[in-house]
Amino acid sequence: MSEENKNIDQLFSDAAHSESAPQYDSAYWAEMNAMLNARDKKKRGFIFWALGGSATFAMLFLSLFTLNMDVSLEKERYVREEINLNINNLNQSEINNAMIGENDLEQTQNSSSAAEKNISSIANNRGTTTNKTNNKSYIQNSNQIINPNSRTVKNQFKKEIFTGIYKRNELASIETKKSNGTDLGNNDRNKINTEGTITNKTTAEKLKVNDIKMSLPYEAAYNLDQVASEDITLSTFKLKARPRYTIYAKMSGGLMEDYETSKPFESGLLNLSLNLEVNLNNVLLRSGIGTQLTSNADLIVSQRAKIYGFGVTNHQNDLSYRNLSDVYIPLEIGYQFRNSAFGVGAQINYLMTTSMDLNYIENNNLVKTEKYNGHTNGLNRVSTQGYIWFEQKITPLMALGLKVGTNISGRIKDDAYFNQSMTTNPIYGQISLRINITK
Amino acid sequence: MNLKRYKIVFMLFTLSILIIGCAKEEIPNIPSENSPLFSVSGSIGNENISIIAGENEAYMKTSTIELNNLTSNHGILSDANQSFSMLMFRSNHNVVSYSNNFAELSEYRIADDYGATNLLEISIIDFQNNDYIHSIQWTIDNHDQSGYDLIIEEPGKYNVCAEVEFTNGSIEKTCNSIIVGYERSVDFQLKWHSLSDNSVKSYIESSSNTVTAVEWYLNDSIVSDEIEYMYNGNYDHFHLKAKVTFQNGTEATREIYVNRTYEHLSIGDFANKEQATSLRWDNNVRFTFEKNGIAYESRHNLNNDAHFIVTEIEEYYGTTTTQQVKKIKGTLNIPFKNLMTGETIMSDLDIEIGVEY
Repeated sequence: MSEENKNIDQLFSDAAHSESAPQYDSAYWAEMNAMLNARDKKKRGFIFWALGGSATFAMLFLSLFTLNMDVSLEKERYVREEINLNINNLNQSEINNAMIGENDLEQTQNSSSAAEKNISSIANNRGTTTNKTNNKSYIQNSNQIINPNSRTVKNQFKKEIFTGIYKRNELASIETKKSNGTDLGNNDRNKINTEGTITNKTTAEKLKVNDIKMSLPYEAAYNLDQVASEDITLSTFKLKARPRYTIYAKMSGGLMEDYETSKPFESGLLNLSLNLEVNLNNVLLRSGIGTQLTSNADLIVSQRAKIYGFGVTNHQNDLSYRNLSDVYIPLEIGYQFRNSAFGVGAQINYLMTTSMDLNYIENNNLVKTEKYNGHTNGLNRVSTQGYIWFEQKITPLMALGLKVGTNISGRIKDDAYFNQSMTTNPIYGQISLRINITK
Repeated sequence: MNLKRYKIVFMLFTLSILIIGCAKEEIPNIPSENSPLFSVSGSIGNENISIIAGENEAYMKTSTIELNNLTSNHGILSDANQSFSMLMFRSNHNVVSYSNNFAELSEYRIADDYGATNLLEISIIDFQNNDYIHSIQWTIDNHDQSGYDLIIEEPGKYNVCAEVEFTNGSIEKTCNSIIVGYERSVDFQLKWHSLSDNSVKSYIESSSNTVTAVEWYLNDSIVSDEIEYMYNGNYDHFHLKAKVTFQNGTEATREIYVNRTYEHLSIGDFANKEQATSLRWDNNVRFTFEKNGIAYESRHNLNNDAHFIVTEIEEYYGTTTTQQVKKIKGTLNIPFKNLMTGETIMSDLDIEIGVEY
C-alpha cells in the first residue's frame, strides 16, 4: 500500500471515529410518513378524477347512440302510409262509383258501399298482405289506372272523381228534400228517373267519406303499392336535415387546482366567449372566440445560476405567475337530447398577458419580490385544454352548463426556465351560463 | 336578432382585450454563471493542495489586518480542513497623501521571518548626554520594556516613550512614533539650541525632503506654525513638540524635552536613530498553509531572492461595495517551513487569490 493510500485510509478511519453513528429519531419518521400519506392522497385524487371523468365521458358517448334510436318516426310513417292507403282505396271507390253512376246509379251506390266496406275491412285488417290483396283486387277491377303519377291518368282521375261526387251530391240533395217532405221539382224527378233509385245509405256514412277526402288529400309519394319483385328499384329520394344556426354568448366560472401545489379549488377560472352553434339533426358543432382569465394560478418557472466569487452564490429567480389572460377558440361537438346537451370540447389558448411575482432567491433565502405584468417568459404562448361539457336549457334564451377539463398541452416551455410547479395539467370545473343571441 | 345584446357582448369582449393588453417593463436578467475565481492548487512537499472557492464549502475571505499598528492586505482561502493565506505588507506608511494601498508589481518579494535579527536598538549611549543619564525606562505602546535598551524585532509603527532618570535624580519623559522595518519616507530630526539671549531656537533638519509646514506645541499647547520656533519665555524647561509636514506628503511628529538652564539634562530626538538592519518589508508577501493543525510558512531560498511571480492582477468587484479587492494570479515555487517540525520543503503552486486593500 502506498503512502498516499495509507493517508486516505487514515482519513476515513479518523472521520468514522470522530462522527457518531446516526440515531433513530421518531420525529423524522413521522415527517416522512406524513409526506408519504400526502403523496398517496394526491394519487388517490388523481385516480378518482381520471376514472370518474372517463366513466362520465363513456356514459355520455354511449348515450349518444342509444338515445338516437327514435322509433316514433317509424310509427308515424307507418300510420301515415296506412291512412294514405285507405284514402287511395276510398278515392278509387269514388272513381268506380262515378264510372258506374253513368250507367247505373244503383250499381254506383252498391259499388260505393262496397268500397266503404273495403275501407272498413282494411282498417280492421292491418296486415300487409290483406292491404296488398285488396288494393290489388281494386286495381284489377278498375282496369283504369296503370300509373297514377302520369298526367293523363291524373286528369282523368280528377274528372271522374268530380263527376261522381257531383252526381252523388245532387242525389243526396234530392233525398234530403224527400226526407224533409219538400216537394221535388221536375228537375229533381227527372234526375231520379235518369239516375235510378237512391239507396238507403245513411247521411253520416256519406259525410264521413267526404270529410276524409277533404282533410287528407291524396299524396302519391306515400302511396304503398305492391310491385313485382323484378320491378323494384332503388329510390333516388334523399331526406336531408336542415342545419340550424345559433349565435350565443357564454360566461363560465369555476375553480381549478393551482399549479404550484396541485391543491384543488385554489385557482379561479373565468371565461367569456361568443359562439356559433350548428345543430345537425341534434348533433351539435360549436366554435367561437373567447377570453379566459386564470387567477391565483401560482404557475412557477425558475431560472438558476451558480455564481462563483468568494464562495458560491446560488441565484434563483422564481417567476410566479399569478394571473393568466388568454384569448381562445373553443371547438365542441355534442348531442342534444330534448332540453339537454352534452359533449366534448377543446380550446386553443393564446396567452395574451400575465401578472406575476418575481422572487429573487439567493442560497435558498428570499431576497426580494417584485411584481411584473405582461411577461410570458418560460411559458408557451399557445396551449390547449380539453373538457367534457353538459348543458341544460332552462328557457329558450338561457341554458346552464357544467364543464370539467384539464390542459392537453402544457403551458410551460422548456427553455431557459424550468418547471417549479407540482402539476402542469391542473383539473378544473366550471359552471356556465349561456345566453342565445339568435334563436 | 337583438342589436342590444350584440352591443353588450361586443363591449365585454373588447373590454377584456383592453385589460389584457397592458404595457410591460423588462425583467432583470439573472447573473451569468461563471467559473471559480479563487483557487490554490499544487503541492507543498508531499502535501497536495486543492482549494477552490465555492467547491466543498471552500470560501475566499479578504480583509485588511493591523500588524504592529500598520495595515496590511490579507486574503485567506479555506475549507473545513485546510487554509491558504496571503499577507501583503504595505509601503509608504507615513505618507498621508499616498492613497494607493496596493502596489501592482510583476513579482512580490517573499517577506523575511520575524525575530531573526533586531530591527532597532536604542541604548543610553546613543544619547549625547548619556553621561548624565542614570537609566531609561522604555515603553512600547504603553508596555514597559525590560532593561535600559530599546529593542524592536518586528516591523511596525510603535509609540516609544523614554522615561529618563538623570543623574541628579530628576525624571523626564518624551514619546515619539517610530516606524521600523520599512523604508522611511523622510529622514529628519528635531533640533534646538540656546541663543545668547537665553532664548531657544527650534527647527527641523532634513536632508532628503523639504519641510512645508510645522506646528509647534509647547507643553501640548500650540504656540507657532512657523518653520522655526523661537522661545524666549519664562519656562526654564519644557516639552516641545513639532508636527511636521514634508513636500512628499509625509507627516510626522517629534517631541523633545528642553532644559535651557541645564542643557545636559535635556532629552533629544531619539526617533531619528538609524535602523539596525537593512531588512525591509515594504510590498513583501507572506504565505501560510495550514492543514490538520500543521502550519507551513513561506521562506526565502538560499539566495534570499524568493518571489511570488505574478501573471495577472485585476480588480475584483464583489457583492459588497465597501470592499476593495485585488485578484492576483501567479505561481509560487519557494520554500515553506513546517512550523511544527522546522522542516523546510519546496512548493509548486498555482494561485488565484484575493487580497483586500
